[in-house]
Amino acid sequence: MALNKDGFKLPGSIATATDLAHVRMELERISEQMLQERLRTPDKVIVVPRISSRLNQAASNAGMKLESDDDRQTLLKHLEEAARVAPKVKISFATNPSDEFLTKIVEWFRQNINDQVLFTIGLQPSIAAGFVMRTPSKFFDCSMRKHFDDNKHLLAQALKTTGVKS
Amino acid sequence: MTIWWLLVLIGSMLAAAGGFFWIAFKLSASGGAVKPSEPQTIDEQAAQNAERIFNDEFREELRNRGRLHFEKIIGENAMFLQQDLRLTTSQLNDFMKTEITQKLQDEFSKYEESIMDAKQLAVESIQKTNEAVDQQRQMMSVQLTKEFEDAKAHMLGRFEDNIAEVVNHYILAAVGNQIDLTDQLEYIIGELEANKEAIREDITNGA
Repeated sequence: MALNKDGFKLPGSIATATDLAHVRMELERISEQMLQERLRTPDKVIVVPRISSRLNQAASNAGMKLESDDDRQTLLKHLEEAARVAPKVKISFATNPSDEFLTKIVEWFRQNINDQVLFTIGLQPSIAAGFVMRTPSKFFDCSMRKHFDDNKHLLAQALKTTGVKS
Repeated sequence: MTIWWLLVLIGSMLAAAGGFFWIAFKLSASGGAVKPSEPQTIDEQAAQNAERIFNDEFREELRNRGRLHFEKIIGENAMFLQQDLRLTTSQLNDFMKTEITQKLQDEFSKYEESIMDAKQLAVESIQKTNEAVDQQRQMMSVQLTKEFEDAKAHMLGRFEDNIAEVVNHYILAAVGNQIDLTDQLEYIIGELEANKEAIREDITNGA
């Protein structure tokens, strides 16, 4: 199944596997709700209930209309396929990132690395600034702690020089 | 002259003959008064005369005189023996004194010599011990100095490393919550751009 290769892109608001699971559950719940509504009142026009912005953006990115049963099923398959094949990246920051900040990071990844990548967001106050990231087989430490550790000899040298002068 | 000598000789012979006859006469005259029971032989007469001469009194006299003489000789010999004994004792004392003194002097000399040798050996041993102790002390001093220097350098090194760790930890703890992530966005995007190829390759080809 190559649904994702047909042009479906996860929106930036769906950054994590949890977000994706929430959107899938929401989409399933909406489909079930609309089905029940049609069964109860077959003559009534079915209105799409209030949905989250994530689901709305996912539907927009896929060019789907949620009023259509086929489009909802197609979108659900897209989301399931994304959950199955999307590469996972764990990235940690010193503080909890805002949604806006996280969206920018996710969009950069989706544009430059992989359009289906999903994140696991971690919290590591000890890094002070920057980030640490673990991809499937590599670890990237771009934190201030790493920078300080790499230049610890400069600090020791400066302390020694200061001690000699004093 | 010869006649005179001859006359003298004849006269001497006549005188001798006359004396002989006078004695013979005398003996024959005395023999008539001897009792018939008395011995008549010369031996018997000699024995009888001996009994008569050496009677008890004479024997007692001889015994007394012999006893006195013996006592005198014994006394003289005792005196001589006492003198000799005293002299010998004195000489023996002198000899013993001389010998003992000599022996003691020899022994004391040997003893003194042994003591001097032992003293010399002890002094040499003490000197060697002192030299060894001094040498050991110098070696220990050098070793201790080196140990102190090494320990000092090690502690200084550890202090410098640790103080760098402490400063790092302090700075990280101090600024950890003060830098806004939004302010770090440019830096983070820059780091991601720098590692873009590695990230892409790992995500594409990774496990």
